[in-house]
Parts: sequence; C-alpha cells; structure tokens
Amino acid sequence: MKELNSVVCIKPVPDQRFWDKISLDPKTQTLRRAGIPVALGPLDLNALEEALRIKEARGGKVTVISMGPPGTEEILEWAIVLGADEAVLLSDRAFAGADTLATAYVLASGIKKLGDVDLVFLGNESLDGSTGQVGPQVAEFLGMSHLTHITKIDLAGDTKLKARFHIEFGSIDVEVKTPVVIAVDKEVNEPRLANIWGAVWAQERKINCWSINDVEVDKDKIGLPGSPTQVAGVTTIELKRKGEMLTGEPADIARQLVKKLQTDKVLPEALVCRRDVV
Amino acid sequence: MSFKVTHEQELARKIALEFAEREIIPHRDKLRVEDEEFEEQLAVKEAKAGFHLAMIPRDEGGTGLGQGGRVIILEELGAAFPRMVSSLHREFAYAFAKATGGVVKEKWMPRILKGEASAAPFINEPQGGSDVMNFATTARKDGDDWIINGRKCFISDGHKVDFGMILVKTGDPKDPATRGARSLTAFVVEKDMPGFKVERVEKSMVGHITATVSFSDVRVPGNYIVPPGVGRGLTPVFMAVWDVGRLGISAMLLGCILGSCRCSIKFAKERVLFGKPIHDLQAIRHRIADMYIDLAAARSLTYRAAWLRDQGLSSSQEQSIAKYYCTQAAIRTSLHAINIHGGSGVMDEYMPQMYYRYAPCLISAGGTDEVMKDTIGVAAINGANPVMGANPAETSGFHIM
Repeated sequence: MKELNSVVCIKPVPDQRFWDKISLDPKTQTLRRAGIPVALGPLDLNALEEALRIKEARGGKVTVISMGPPGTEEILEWAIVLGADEAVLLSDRAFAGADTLATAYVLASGIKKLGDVDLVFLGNESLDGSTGQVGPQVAEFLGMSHLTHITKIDLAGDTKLKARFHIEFGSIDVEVKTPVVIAVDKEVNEPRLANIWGAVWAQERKINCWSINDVEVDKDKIGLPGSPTQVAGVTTIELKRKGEMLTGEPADIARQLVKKLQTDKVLPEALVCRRDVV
Repeated sequence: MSFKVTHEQELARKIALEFAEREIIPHRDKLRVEDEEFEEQLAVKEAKAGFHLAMIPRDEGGTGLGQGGRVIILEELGAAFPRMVSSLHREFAYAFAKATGGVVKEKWMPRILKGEASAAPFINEPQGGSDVMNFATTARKDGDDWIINGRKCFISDGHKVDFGMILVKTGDPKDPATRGARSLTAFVVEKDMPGFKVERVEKSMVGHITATVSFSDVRVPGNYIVPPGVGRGLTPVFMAVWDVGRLGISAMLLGCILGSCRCSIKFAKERVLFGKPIHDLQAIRHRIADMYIDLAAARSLTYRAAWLRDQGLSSSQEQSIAKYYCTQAAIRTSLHAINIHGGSGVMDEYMPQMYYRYAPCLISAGGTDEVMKDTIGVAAINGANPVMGANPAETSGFHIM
C-alpha cells in the first residue's frame, strides 16, 4: 500500500478558557488579544487527528503548517506533541493583515514547497473567523479537488478515499482521488489526548520558519495589500434578556407580536397578516 | 543557582493538565463516590498516556523527563482530584525492578514500560513502619532460596499490586555479626508466590485502600534479594521510599495545594456578596495570598528536591523538608479554601472538603511529620553541612552555619 503524506493547516486562535478577557478596541476596531494565550482551534485538532490516523494506518508523514506571527510556534509545537512529524511556520511582516484569500495563497505556496503531498487537511472553519473559505481557496491555488464539511473518511485503495459530507438535511457519500484538500467537521473523529512522549518529540522534531524569501509568492497577492476583503467595522453585540408579557386574546397577542417583530426589524414591514391565520 | 523547570517539563504539565481536563475533572462525581470501575478505567488511561515513564531514563525505554517531570505530572493529576495516582505504583515497580536488576528486571521491565505492572513497598508492620529493628517478619535461608514468614500492613493498594519490595529480618540485631541494620534484608516478592495472602483491606476516609498481607513460608529465589545484599536491606528500601514515595507524596500534596488555590480563586471571582465579587474583600484576598505563598514555597521545595535527584545528587533531607512542608501547607490551604467557599466548602459536590479530607491521609505515607522533623533535626544538628546531609556544600543553597 502506498504511504500517504498529509499536510494539516492550523491556525492559532484565542484559548477558549480566556475568552472573557478579550475585548474590542473601539479606536482600531480590532480585538485586544495581548496576553491572551493561543491554542489550536477545535476543528484543527480534528483535522490533525484524521491525518495521524491515516499515517498510523498507511504510513507516511504528517506535516503541520501555519501562517502567523512569531509565537505561532506554540501551537505548532503542540501539534508535534500530539504526533505530527514536522512543522512549518510561514511568518513574515509582508504576510500580515491577510484576508482568507491571501492567507490561502501563502499556505498553498508553503504546501507546494513541501512537495510530495497526498492529502491536505483543515478544520472546516476557524473558531474566530468562521469563514469556511480557506479550505476551498487552498485547493484552488494547489489545483486539487476539495471536500468540505467532512464527517467520515475511509481509505479506498492507493489513491482513493471515500468520504461523507454533511448537508442541511442529511449527508452525501463520495469517492475522491488523491491529492485532495479535505475540510473536516467535528463529527469526523474524537481528537486524541497527548501522550507523555509528546514532550520528548517536541524537543526532537523541528519547526521550520519560512519567510517571504523561502516561498515562491507574488508580492501583490499577499498580506493586507493582497487582500480584497476590507473590514469596514466591528461591533460588539450586547445580549440582554428583556421579558415582556403580552396580554389579550390569542389572535390579538399574535398581532401584537408580529407588530413588535416588525418594529424590531426581525420581520419585514410589508408582511401581510392573513386574518384567517392570525 | 541553576535550578529551573525545563521546557520539556512544562510541556509535561500541559499534557497532564489536558488529560485532567478531559478524563478527570468532568468525572469527579464518579471518583467522589469511589466508583471502582471508573477508577480502573482511569488507571488504564493514565498508563496509556505514559505518565509512569517520566522517571525512567531514555536508554531504559522511558521518556527521561526525570523526577522533575514526574512531580509536575503528579501535581496536576492530584489537583484535578486528590487521590492515590495510579502511576505512583507503576513507578514503584520500576524502582524495585531497577534496584534488584538481574532476572527481576528482565522479567518485569516489558510490563513496566507498558504500564501493566504495579508494586508497593511492603514495610509497615502492626507496631509501625519506622521501628524497623523490631520487625517480626523474617526470612531464613533454604538452599539457594529464602523462606519468608510474617505480616505487613497498611500496604497501599496491596490487594492489587503485582509485586513489592519487602524489608525483613535475616539476622538478630543484637548478634555482633548482624548488628543493628545489618539484620535487615530487602527482597522482591510477587503476589503469585505460594504463601502470599491478602488478609484484609481497609479504606481510609477518602476511599484509599490499604491492605494487610501475610507471608506463610513464601519461597523466594536468592536472586530476588535487592542489592547490595543480605544484611543491607535498608539502603534500597530508603532509596525507593524517598525517591518514589516521599517525592511522589509531596507532589500529590502539592496537587491538593494547587487544587485548593484554583477552586478558591474561581469561587472568589464568581461569588457575589454585598454587590461585589468576594475577591474585592481584603479578608478573602489575604487568604488567597496565604494560599499562593504556600503553593510557591511548597513547589520550590519539592521541585528542588526532584531537581537534585535529576542531577544525580542525594536529596534525602530536601525530600523530608518538602514532604513535611507540603503536608502542613495542604492542610492549611484546603482549610482556607473551605473558609473562602463558606457553606459550600464542606458540601460533597464542592472540592475544598475533598482536599481537606485527603491531605491528612498522606501524613503517614512515606513517614509522619514527626519522622520527617526528626530526620531533618538530626541532620541539622549532626551534619557537617547541616541541611544537606551528605551532599557536597556547593550543590546546596541551604547553609545555616
């Protein structure tokens, strides 16, 4: 059986245990994240787990890759603790401010440099941005097929695998040829706990740091200048419970409710209330 | 001064903490009611995580994280729930097999590495554990073998360990040829040896099980004697009890202190009194400060004792100091935790009462407070380099004269 080399794209996200300490800077419209520890996103753990399982079943190598500022090594190291064979950090001031497209472009450049890659895994979406765009974008840049919302993967021969992806009212089973980019949902597996050997592996296995000079990129497609998405503003949503009792006959209560929802712009104002229904 | 926690050991803490957050903390209710099936499953998971491999060197198949890595792991697991962490008995198994060497090591090491073998010291007798000259358990030579007869009590998990290191009389302490400690020999005994019997099991107030075991004409091969050999049993027993037992117990007490601090700080942030969280009250902040000071001091003592061992130096006095201090600090901090929690602190579903009940259960493990203080006092008065005992002065930060 052919060995399968996997790459897992991971992203540092604020550690969920410290979310209460994150706030919004009203001036810069950015999150105040200073001092907040970073962690591997939950779906990144699922992606890594799937790659590790395939390695255990078929052999090959698992490489984790991330784009981020210095400090991102911490999550790459944790991926090694969990069993990844090597790690790559794409870090350069020129990469900063990237949207999903520019991020995917740089990640794809790093994956191309790695060479012999059969499978690229990602979490379907990140914990903080939640766009779900990076997986398909990486696939496009690499010229690979891609699958998203994957909940089950089975190996089927040397260069094929069967996968199940989640849709709104069920799931679809597909067969796909490698190389392929796979974005996983949490149902795909139960991520493993680290073994104490991980502390040893972290000392022995390498984190390679690649700058703009180490990958082939078009400088117009990276960082803030290469990002077509511009954040226009960020607002904090205050969630408050507001209890209000409506009184009257049931039909009257329904009419009051519709009117309130229209006032609060939950329902369109042009909604026509059918007398026989309400 | 070069003593420091390595990055590898900090990663070991993170690994143990993650394990605790998934496998222990959400299941505290099962540990609280002493669900034996769950405890067995947890012990298997701890073995799979490889926590017992920390003190085993790399060239013997372990992770080589050393005593430093080991105490940090035990601290985190103990903080999640105070209990006799299963890896301690696996570490005893390694220490005994290594000390004995030869066929014993060959036989047990494969299972020890897989986390499938556990052991305990068979030392205590009904009249006490420290009064070794009056032990009644004996071994007499019979050809190449030895025949052991007697009884040992308060053996931690003695009903289920695979083997143990037993300290017995092989001579008369009053006979000039076998005077004093020369009358004592250490053997490895296995639970499957004919004549070995678990007489009864007893539970402590937190559910920790100890057993009384008896030896009736138990035949032990001569190569099961722990070196240096006949009449030299105290040295290997002390080494194992200090390095595995005393350091391990200190680490588990450290867990009580850490756990008390964590739950108290969390509670002080959440509990609102007079319109403010109670950490706004100076009285509460000062209690937390006292707890934190105890944590810092207990960590410094325990980690340093472990670090000295990792440098290949003796730390018997440091271990006694750490064990004594951790015991007292665990009782103090858990009582602070109860005070901070108010009525909730003594309720079954809150942790402070668990830490408070558990800490005293470790007073006698590895030697009571009095034994610790006596050991420290004797060394302080008689030692050339008082607090360090036999250590070269330059390795120690403790000079009192």
